[in-house]
Amino acid sequence: MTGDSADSSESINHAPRTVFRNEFAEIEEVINAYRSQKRENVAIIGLPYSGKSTLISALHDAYANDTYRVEYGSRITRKRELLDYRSNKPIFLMDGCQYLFSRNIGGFSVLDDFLDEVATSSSLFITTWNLYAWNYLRRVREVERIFPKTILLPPLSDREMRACILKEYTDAELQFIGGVEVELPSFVRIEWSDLHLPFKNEPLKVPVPKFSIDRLAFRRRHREETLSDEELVFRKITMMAEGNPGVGKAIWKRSFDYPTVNLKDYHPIRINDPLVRKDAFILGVIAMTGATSREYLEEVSALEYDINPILYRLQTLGVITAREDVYQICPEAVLGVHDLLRRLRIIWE
Amino acid sequence: MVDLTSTEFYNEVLSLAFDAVIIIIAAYMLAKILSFILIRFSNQFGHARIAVRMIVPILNILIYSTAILLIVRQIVFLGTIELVAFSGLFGAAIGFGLKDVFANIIGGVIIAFEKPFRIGDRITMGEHYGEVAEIGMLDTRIVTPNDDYVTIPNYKIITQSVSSANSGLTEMMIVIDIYIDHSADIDRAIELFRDAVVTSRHVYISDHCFYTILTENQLNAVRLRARAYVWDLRDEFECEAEISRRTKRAFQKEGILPPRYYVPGEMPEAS
Repeated sequence: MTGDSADSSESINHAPRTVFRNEFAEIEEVINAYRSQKRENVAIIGLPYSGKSTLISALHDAYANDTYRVEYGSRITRKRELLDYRSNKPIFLMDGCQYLFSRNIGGFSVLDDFLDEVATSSSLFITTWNLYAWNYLRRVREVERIFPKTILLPPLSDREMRACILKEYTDAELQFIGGVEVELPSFVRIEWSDLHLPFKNEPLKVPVPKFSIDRLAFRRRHREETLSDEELVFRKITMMAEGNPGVGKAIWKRSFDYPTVNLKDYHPIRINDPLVRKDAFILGVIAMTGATSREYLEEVSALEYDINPILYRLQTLGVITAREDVYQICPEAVLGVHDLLRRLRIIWE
Repeated sequence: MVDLTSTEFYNEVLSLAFDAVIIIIAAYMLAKILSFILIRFSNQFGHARIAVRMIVPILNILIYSTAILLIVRQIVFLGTIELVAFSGLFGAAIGFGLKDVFANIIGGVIIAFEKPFRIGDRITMGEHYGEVAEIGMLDTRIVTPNDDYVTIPNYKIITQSVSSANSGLTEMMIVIDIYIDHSADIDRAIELFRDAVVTSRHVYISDHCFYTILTENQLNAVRLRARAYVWDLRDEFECEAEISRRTKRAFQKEGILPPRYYVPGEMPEAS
């Protein structure tokens, strides 16, 4: 946990008023209402890498004198750590509140203390939550009663995505953009699928053509509109990332090789193999938490199953990354993981 | 009496019989192949798989009905008089000999269209409980938790009550009972039990699928009962076992005792 930190694992390092302007204005209204004695705690909710920390940073910059910022980057297991946020400032900005609980027996005590504190405090709490964690806690702890104002982060537009990605480059570095070579993605591609035949143990590999309506629509739009190469690239990236800034940046990094942006060969990570329930559940816990330690995952498994083969399988599929025994969803896999977890109802709505 | 020469016999009767056999085999194979494909691919639809599987019995009825019509059309051309005569004979045949067969077929039609249960549902019919594996023209087959394959005639749907635990949905309510001693800390026990339920990898909670924890004082124990929904009914028993195991471990860790036998009138004081 860090207090008043300007850094953020999910930060997309952008000027606050360029992205999430409507959401920023909504929170400004809440703050103004709070100054008129109406306290309405806020929950900012979004998918992993959707830019929640960016919005909190923007609020902290705009209201530096009135706010105290706390950022949780790993699981909080003791109440003492939680209460470190005590400050005289009237507004608390709390980033990463999904770290306040763990999905095991006895894992809600810190969260319960926190909710109790928020309910009885006179301060205004503006918090960020992972969408999956929020939906889960709505069902098991009715958190929406404590945070009546919920703001779901919207997907970024093409322009916002462009600003977000190019923020990391200097003007000199951006000279090449006008001359990028764009290779349009094909709307049909061949994927090899397993076909299980009766009386045969080994599955048969068969080619299956996959059609992408999105890609077809994209090609048609491109024919209809006169877009510069640069606009085209960022429109495509935004579409592929479904407006998620973290995913967009990951696509950009994968596709950009000076002086070419090759989106043709980029394939989002989709999980075609059916995952067994425990694999999908652990994937859901990682998606819900963010940076997840092996120790925590072992607690979640609660001696019911061995965690190592599951983590190995998820890493082999390319959906999670590991760094010093801390696991996270790969940005490129976020959308595929979202589809899978929703289909399996690991994540609740 | 019909007098057939051997040539006429070969030309007429054997040809018809051959056609009928071909039609029946073709219908059987078509029904089996389509059923296999639908059931195999239904798993791709996640929690909507039961809706996809429900097409199977309707398809079977359509295929076999078409096959019967084709065979009848090959054998007889019915005018009004023949139709009346045939209907009379047909009615008599049903009344005397084929009553049960037709009752089963009607039962199959009712199951296919009224949907009192579907393929994949967990049902109790008579003394049998299990997952519906197949709904045929004449009978329904269920697989019991002990992996027994039970064949139930379809007419029983008309004569017996049938309960479906999930009613065409993937999720299903389960009930888990845990017993603790009267001296145990009941509040802590409820807290741990609730955590075990809501953190289970099998449990699903939504607006319609909620969970509750109930308590009941019994002579020698306090019963904690959880009602929750398992996300996929195929995990019914695994879910119950998992929650029970995890709760038991948590109780052992916290010193929450299992029930002991007490002589009535010598109940211990609650801690």
